[in-house]
Amino acid sequence: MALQLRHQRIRSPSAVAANASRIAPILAVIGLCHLLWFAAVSVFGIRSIFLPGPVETYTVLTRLLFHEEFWLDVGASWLRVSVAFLLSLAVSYPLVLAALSSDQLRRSLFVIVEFFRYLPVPIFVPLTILWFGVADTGKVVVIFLGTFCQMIPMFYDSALIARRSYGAAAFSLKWRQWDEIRNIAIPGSAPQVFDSSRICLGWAWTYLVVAELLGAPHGIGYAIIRAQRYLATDRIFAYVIVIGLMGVLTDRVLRYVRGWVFAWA
Amino acid sequence: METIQFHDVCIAYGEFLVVDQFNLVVEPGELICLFGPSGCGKSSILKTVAGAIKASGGEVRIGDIAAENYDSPLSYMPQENELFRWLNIRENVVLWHRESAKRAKVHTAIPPDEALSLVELTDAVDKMPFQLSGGMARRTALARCLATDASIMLLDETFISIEQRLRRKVMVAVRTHLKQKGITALLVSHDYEEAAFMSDRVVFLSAVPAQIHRITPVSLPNQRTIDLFDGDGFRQATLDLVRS
Repeated sequence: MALQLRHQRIRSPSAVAANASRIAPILAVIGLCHLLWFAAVSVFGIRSIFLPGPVETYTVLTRLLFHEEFWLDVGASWLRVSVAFLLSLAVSYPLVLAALSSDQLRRSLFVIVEFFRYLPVPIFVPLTILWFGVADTGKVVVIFLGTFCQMIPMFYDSALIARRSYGAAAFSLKWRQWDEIRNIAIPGSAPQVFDSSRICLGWAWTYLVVAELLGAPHGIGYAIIRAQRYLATDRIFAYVIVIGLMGVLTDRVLRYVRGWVFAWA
Repeated sequence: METIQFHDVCIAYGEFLVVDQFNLVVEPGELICLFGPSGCGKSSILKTVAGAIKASGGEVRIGDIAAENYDSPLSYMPQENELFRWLNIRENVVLWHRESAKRAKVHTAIPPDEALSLVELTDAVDKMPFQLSGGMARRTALARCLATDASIMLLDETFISIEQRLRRKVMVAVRTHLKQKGITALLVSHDYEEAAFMSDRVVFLSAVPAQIHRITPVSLPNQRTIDLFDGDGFRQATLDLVRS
C-alpha cells in the first residue's frame, strides 16, 4: 500500500529547485559552524591540544578511515547498540501490550518503570562492571536499562492515544480487549512507536559511549579514551564527528523508512 | 428488533449537567430524530446508547438489557468519522462487516461492495482516508455503518457534509434499508429537511441542560422515495417541524 501511495504522488517539475532551496540553508549553517571553528582556532591562536582546527581534524578523520582499528571500533559500537536496542524493544513492546490489557499489571509495571526512568544511566556503569566485567554484556545492559524504561511510557501513551482516537469501533463492535489491541492499538500507534524508537536509538548511542568509556576491547567510546590518554584531541574530535554523522545518517534513513512504511500517518 | 428506552436519564460531565430527566421510548424499527441547539447533549444521548459513556442518573435500556451491558454490535456513526487511517476505504468497510458478523444475532448488513456503491464510492475503494474529501470520508463512515450487522443504528449528523445531489439519494437508501430490516434508529440532526424525511418522530430538545421540549410525529408515508422531496406533502411536513 505504501509503495502504491508513493507512485500516486505527483512529481512537481520544480522538485529539484525545491530540494535545493531546502538543502541550501542546512549547508549554510554547517559552513558557518566550520567558519566559526576555524576563526576561533586561528584568531585566538588556541593550541591544537585544546582545540584542533577543522583541517587538522578532517585530516585525522580521513586517515582513520583507512585504519582497520577504526572500523572495528565502529562495528563494535554498532553491534552493542543494535543488540541492546532490539532487546529493549523486544521486552518493552509486549509488556506495553500486556499493560493495555490489564490495569493491575499497568499499575505495577509503571511504578517500577517510573522508579528506573529517573535514575541516571551512568550510575549503573560501576554496577555492571562489577557484575559483568568489561565484556559486552555489561554495556548492553547499561543501554538496555537506559532505553527500556523510556520506551514503555512512550509506547503506552501512543497506544492510548490510538485507542481514544478510534474508540467508536471498539464500543460499536463490542470488541473484547484483545480485539481492540489487535485492531486499533497496534496498527494505530505503529507510526508513533516507530518515532519513539528512533528517539530511543539516539539515547542508546549516548549511553553506549558512557558505557564504553570505562573500558572495552573495541568501541568508539573506548577509542575516545585511548585518544585522551595520548592527548590526541584531533582524534577525539574526529570520533565525535563520526558519532554525530552516524546519528544524522541513521535518523535520515529511519525518517525515510517511516515515510515509506507509514505513508498514511 | 429492539426497543431503546430512556428512563429519567441525566448526563453530566463533572459538575456540568448536559441532559436532565430525559425520558423516551424508541419503538422497534422506529426512526427518531433528536433535534436541538448545538451543545445540548444530543450526541451524548447517542453515546449512552452506544455504551461509550454511562448516564450519570437514570437508565438506558436496549430491549431488556442495560445499554452498558448490551453485547451485540451497534451501527454507530460518530461526528468524527474515525476511519482507520491505515486501511483503505474498502478495508475499513469490510472490517466492520466482518467483525460485526462475528457477534451479531441479526443479519441486517448490506454487503460491503453494495454499501460502497450505494454511497457512490465504488471508484474510490482503494483510496486511503487521508486522500478523501470531508464528504467522501463521511460517506465511507456511512457505508461502514450500513455494512454492519446490527439491530440498532445511531447516526450523528450523518448527512451534513454530503453534497446536495447525493444527499437525498443517500437519505432514501438509508431510510429504506432501516425500514426493510426493521432497524431501530436514533438520528441527530440540525437540518429540518433531513429530520422530516428521515424520521417517524422528531424529538425537540431545549438548550443545556437538555430536556424534551416537544415530540412531533412526521406526517409522511412510511415508504418514502426521492420524488417525495418535490411534493407539497414534504414541504408541509418540513414547515410543520420549523413551526414547532
